[in-house]
Amino acid sequence: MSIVVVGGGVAGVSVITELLRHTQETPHSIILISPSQTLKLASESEANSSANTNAASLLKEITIYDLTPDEFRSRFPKVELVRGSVTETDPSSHTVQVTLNDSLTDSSASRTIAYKQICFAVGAVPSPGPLPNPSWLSTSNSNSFVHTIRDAESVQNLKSLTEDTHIKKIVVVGNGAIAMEIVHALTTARASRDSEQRTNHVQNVDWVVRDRFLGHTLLDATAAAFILPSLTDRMRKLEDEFERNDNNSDSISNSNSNSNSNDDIEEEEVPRKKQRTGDNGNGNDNPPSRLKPVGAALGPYWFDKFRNATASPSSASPSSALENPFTNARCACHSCKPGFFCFPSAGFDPEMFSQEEKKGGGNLRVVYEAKIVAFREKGVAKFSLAAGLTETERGDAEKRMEGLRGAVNRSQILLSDDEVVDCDALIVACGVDSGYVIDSVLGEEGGRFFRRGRHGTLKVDKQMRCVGAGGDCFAAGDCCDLSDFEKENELFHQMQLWSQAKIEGSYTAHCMLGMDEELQSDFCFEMFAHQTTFLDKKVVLLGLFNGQKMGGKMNEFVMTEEGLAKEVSEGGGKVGGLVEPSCEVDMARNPPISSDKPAKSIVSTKKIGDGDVKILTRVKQEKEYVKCIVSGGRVVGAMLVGGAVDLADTMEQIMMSRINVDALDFDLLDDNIEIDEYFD
Amino acid sequence: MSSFAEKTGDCGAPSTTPAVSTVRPRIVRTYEEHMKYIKKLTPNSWQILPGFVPGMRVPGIFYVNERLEQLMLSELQQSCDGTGIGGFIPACSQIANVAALPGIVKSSIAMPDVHSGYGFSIGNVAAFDMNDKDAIVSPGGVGFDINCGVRLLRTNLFEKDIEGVKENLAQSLFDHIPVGVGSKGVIPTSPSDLDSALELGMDWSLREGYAWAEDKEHVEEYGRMLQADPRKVSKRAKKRGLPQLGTLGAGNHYCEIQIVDEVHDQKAANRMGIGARGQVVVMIHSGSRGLGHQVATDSLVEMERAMARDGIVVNDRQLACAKIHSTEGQNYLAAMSAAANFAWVNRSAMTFLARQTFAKMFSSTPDDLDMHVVYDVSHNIAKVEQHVVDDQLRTLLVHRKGATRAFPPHHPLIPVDYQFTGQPVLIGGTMGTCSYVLAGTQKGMDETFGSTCHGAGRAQSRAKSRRQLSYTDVLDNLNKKGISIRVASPKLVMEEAPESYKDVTEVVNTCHDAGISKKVVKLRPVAVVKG
Repeated sequence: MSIVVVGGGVAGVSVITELLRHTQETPHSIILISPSQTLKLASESEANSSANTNAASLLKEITIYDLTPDEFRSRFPKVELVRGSVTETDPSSHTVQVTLNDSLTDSSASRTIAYKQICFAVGAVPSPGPLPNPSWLSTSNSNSFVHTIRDAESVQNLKSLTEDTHIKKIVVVGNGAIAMEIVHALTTARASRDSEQRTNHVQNVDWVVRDRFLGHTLLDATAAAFILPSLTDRMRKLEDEFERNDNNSDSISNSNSNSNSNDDIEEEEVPRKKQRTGDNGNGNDNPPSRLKPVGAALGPYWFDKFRNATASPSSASPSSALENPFTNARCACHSCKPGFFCFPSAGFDPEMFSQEEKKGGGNLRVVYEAKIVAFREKGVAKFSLAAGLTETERGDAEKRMEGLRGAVNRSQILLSDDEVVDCDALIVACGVDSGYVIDSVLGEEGGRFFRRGRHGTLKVDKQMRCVGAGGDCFAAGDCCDLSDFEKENELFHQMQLWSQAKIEGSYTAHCMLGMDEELQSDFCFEMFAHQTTFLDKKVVLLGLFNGQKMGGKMNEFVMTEEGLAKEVSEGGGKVGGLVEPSCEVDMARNPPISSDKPAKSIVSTKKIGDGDVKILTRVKQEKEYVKCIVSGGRVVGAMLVGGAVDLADTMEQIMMSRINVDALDFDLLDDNIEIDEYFD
Repeated sequence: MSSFAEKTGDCGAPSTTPAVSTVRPRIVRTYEEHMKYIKKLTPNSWQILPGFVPGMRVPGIFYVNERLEQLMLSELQQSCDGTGIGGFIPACSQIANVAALPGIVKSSIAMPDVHSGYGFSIGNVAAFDMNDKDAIVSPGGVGFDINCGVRLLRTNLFEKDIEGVKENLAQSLFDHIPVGVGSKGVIPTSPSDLDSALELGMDWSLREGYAWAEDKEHVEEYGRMLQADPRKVSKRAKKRGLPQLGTLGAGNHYCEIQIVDEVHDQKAANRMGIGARGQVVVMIHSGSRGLGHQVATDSLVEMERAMARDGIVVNDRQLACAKIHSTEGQNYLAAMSAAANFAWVNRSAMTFLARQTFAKMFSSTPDDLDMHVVYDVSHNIAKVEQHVVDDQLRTLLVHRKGATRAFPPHHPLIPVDYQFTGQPVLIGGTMGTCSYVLAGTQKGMDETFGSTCHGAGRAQSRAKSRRQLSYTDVLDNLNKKGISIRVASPKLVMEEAPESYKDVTEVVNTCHDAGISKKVVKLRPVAVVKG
């Protein structure tokens, strides 16, 4: 009888690392089942790397190492690695069926593994987003123009896209972290390639986002404007539009109705659910095929690997560059510790795009507040409607499609603003989904035992045991639903991030080993904390940084507050005034220090229900952006961008200690007082 | 008068119910009116007379020279005309508010590096009579980072010995010592280990093999507060502390390799084993991290309730306090002592790592490198001590927040080694500024309860430097001075840049001139490691 871990991503390997750490004399053998070529080892400090550089004590800036199966075996000699996919789980007999990968020619090769305890860390697969059928995704290796990026293998796919001279126009849809990285990967890779090879191969990128700002899941409107300097113009334009549309509030509310900003990870929740039930119900002529086995999620810094692979194709074989990202182990900024990388280290130069446009080169265009309503592939006369459209949208789209009959020699995408975009490739980056992959692992029989949570994830109790499947089935990482922890810990909320996968993995290992003492003193679900880097700007997210768990309206308000975005575009210091005509918001600010020294922090206050929620911000253009959400006198969330990340420690202490800062008001962020000293 | 000056200023105690009855209303005056209550006593000290704020039982005193006094007074002025620090209370008023607390004796004293803090200013010393049944203890008088302090290790190496390997040494220290917030301790600790560490302080480090027996001799309280009771430390505080044991921390915490640059008192310096110019020493500045923060917060909440019950009235809600002999007061002292022990274990862990690093680098042993602890001082702590006040020996609870104990020669509580020199006092500047070793004096014992400054102080000048200097300027500057830097966050180079500190020399000279401590050695950094 063995301890079985399914999935070789960050969560799965963390479970194994922690299991081994606490069991010198392993009583049972440990088996890891993973279909992927690459296994992920998340490490906070490696023997040869420098000390940690985390920004608050719950934060872990994690280095992700890719291991080949051989490397894994030599690193974890006590663990048996089975290359294959679980196809059936039977909790009653404590067995799983595994289809082995190593014998690809013989599809019948399978193995039954009995377990004492099992942990599912199967992660998630890309959400199909607007695609009418998830099987579109599984055909991404064929001639289809639809692509997705999730694992190391698909990065390779992205690389081939940029090198394909037939591809002149790429459309990216999605507004999360991965979408942001893909867009910059595409544009930056192109720039480096162009400069090296002097080719005339030009690719245009259209980026279709649902929201009024970029980076929906991890940022807010201000942070997006802060991080992407090119956006400031856009924001200014938005503002004008906003004023123009003032009398036409219908159009605004229509376009907003699509955004379910309550939901941070599964952006396309509504569309996908509709489409799933549709598939099951009417027996679509493209029945959902079983998805091809997918590898572990990319984790951070994949783009650097990607760029290394694209920028110097001659130096090493692309695959080795992908597998060993640390052949070039120092970040170009030289301020990162070895093995750490800024993203992208070359920096983002908005000028680059406009200049290339003048030369007739490639261009990045962002299409805001739009969604894809229909597609047709090259040579196909008929458009396919996108999933998850409202009745009105469908009607409009069908009308529009009437006028677009006749086959074309380029694939086309119809956007909700009636624009038809010719393109050669569509990259879907609309979040992830666990439902499909869990279905395939549990099998039909096994599936009946397990209770499912949000978006098809596995519901787990406080000991990470799968609800309904007896005491020996555990789950960790993206595939589990932590809503029990969310209920208990006010400042915690689940996001499908590798930093959470890591702590869940360790915690689950403690649960599996029944380490009561450790579990009772565990603190990892106390507060949400995430640290990442976008475009050379460090971003620290603490607690309810976008008003999560405060209700949809609050969340939307916090995220889209354009009055603050305006601060950035205008150089900071001045206060914009009312934020939204429909929203009761008071904005106050510090008095100017003197005539030449404007106030540095602004505060906006919004009342929701009985509680009093204030949003404090401090913006210094190109330097820092701080946002604190103060509820009932306590800081419950903070977003720190750029130089402000050094406030992370103090913010975390204030939040954890639940100190009442109400009377400090916006002086909390007064630039002339060092709150870290004040609370020393 | 702006609306900001009219604020009650009773910001931030961690409770949801405003304890209106326990807080006196704030007096609103112009700067000129305020100045009638402030008198210059000597070239290096000023007095705040009773009446400056309501209920003052004793005067306030702050030690500043001509340059530093401008900072103090302009802060007060700005708070009066509403252009300054808004909801924050200027240090002057904070010193006076403390002078209004029940049981305070002699005066509320502020060191030259004083600046605004939570409740008490950073740099404030206040003593309360243990025999007065109404005398109080206040967590605000200790601070959140309980027993934040500085430790100095000596070596028998000289600057020329490390010249070639300075970069490697800095990198190696950076690799060995977990720096930066969120770093995890290298010493594996279980929850029961933590309880032992909280109870035993450095005795735990000694038992576990991370400290030398003679280290304890050169640490205040021998590295263990005997009143410590881990049961009085909340579970939440322990949870926060567990992963942080043995970590340096972030913000103003650092580890520095320094060189003995000037010797002001050869005899005392020789006694401390740092009498040779060019000698290499290691300075460690760290505290109790999240555990201390939670202990302070927990007790603030508890004490707010006790204040209403016991009818204690204060000028600022941040000055939440309890009678020393009440349950709340005793609980706090027991928990604070445990947090203090945590901080000593922390500094001992860092000492262990620094010794390992040097031994490895020079293929020697820490013993052969003579890596003894010169001394270890606490900046944020409250202790029961005996002092002569009005010609009477009295037992006092001395709160030192951002101030260092500096006992004179022949005091029974200082190590045998330093009986003739006075207690060593370690003053950390950082990032290119110098640090100092001072010694306690009898005058300090008489005037300031045997206390002196703790560091450079930052206040407003810090934010100003950030606006004026670029990060590369600072780096260039440090490089020119030949200082190696290893920082987790480049931003912090700016944040902690020497130009941003009130000149540490200015602060130390004020203390020297006022006679509350005397200069022994000046240290110059050659490598910095920080979070």
